[in-house]
Amino acid sequence: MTGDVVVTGMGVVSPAGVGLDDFHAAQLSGRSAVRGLSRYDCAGDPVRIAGEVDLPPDLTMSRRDALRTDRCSQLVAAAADLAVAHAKLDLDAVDRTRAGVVIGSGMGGASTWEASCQALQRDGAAAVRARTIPMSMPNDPAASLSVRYGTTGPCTAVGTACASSADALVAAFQMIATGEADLVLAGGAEAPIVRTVVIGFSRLGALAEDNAEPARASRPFDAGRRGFVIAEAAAVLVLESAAHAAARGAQVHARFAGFGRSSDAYHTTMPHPDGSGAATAIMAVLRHSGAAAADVAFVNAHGTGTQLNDAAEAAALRATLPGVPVTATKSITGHPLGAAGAVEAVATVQALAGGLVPPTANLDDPDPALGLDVVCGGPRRVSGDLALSNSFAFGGHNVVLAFARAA
Amino acid sequence: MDRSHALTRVRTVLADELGLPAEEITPAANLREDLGMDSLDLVELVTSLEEQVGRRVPREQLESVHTIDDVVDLVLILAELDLPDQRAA
Repeated sequence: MTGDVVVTGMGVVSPAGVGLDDFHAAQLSGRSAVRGLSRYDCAGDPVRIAGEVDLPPDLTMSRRDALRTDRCSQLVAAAADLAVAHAKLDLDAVDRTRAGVVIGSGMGGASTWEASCQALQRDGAAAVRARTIPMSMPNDPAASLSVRYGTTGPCTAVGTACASSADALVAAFQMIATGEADLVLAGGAEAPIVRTVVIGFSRLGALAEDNAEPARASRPFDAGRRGFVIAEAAAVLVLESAAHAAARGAQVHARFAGFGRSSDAYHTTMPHPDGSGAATAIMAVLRHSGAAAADVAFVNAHGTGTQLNDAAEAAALRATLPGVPVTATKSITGHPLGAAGAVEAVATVQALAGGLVPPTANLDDPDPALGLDVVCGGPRRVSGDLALSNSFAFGGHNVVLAFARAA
Repeated sequence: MDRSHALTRVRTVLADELGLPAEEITPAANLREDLGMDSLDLVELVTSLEEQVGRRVPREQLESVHTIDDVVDLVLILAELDLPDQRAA
């Protein structure tokens, strides 16, 4: 249909690989990329593990640019460059006034903010960098992409914690579906391996502390799960109207079939224990994409590895999509907070395109109380043309995306 | 502090803190056109120099700063040296 929104390009920088090929191979390997935390001195801290991105030199900013750009915006620039290349998108050949950007981030430039707070406390006001605000504001990843590519259409940012980039993809869908834009660079970025952030999550009791066995720490849906592992990442998708994609001869990798959203209206950090908010969003995505439960080939779960998330998510899945195969990307990448939705959208599109659902790492002892069919041990071949990707967040935000195999 | 000492300070801040290539930081270099600096770069440069000498520059004074030489003048003023004599020396 000409009103469809399609995916014509994807770029990802993650702890489990930079670029689509490495990321896909890492998914299928079922090996966790979580490792010892190296971005700051964490000796003596309760959490000393993380999912860290190793950017190759060709995607690393010059020292000059890096000094002016928070890690969060550095990661999104790398992901966006990969996405634009994958889409074979020549921005000189499109109407830039109809090209938009939406990037979600939970924390924005947290490392810049922390450094400025420390400088202020240590040395006073004169030690605070003039770039503190522009580098740390949560819309900088989006704004900096608009400057980078010269897109002058709508440019906005979304901050809904761990649902940020799923919400960003929804916002982009709406821009295209309502005719505001022809194409949108949409996704998320997070660079939360910052001591204050890691310790903050740790104080909430949300983080796994398996410091001696980093690769075993992220265990979504396992009976022995003890929390999530914080990670950094960015992913950008090139979304276009089907008509625009066809007119420029772009290859379509998937159709963005729809979305469903809800709010728990329950608690800031706890999901509703019966999963009703998540279930509402799953029912909504099926309605919006005109699909039935039986059409869903698999679900890329939010699957963080916290007791509460996995229990509530499982309840929602049992109620709405009983028996559907489920996989948890965060077992391999760790949890990149606001970037997770976009990273997992990429994983979902890749799995759908290949008909192969990646395994969930570290699922040695599936929690019998959850009643889920979690893919583990190796990739599983599935048929079917539709897949869902769940993102849930502190604040009670529930966002579920649906992607359909390209026709 | 003499002129060459001041220039060295400016060059060090620009290279170390703002990542500019040291070889491009010549006295005649224009901050915007030759070095690609923007207004925030200038503020960060001056803030760093202020910290070193322990004095503040009125921000309106930055409007007349266009070249590395102008920045060096500013450093010498901050250091309370008699500028014309230093130039003559």
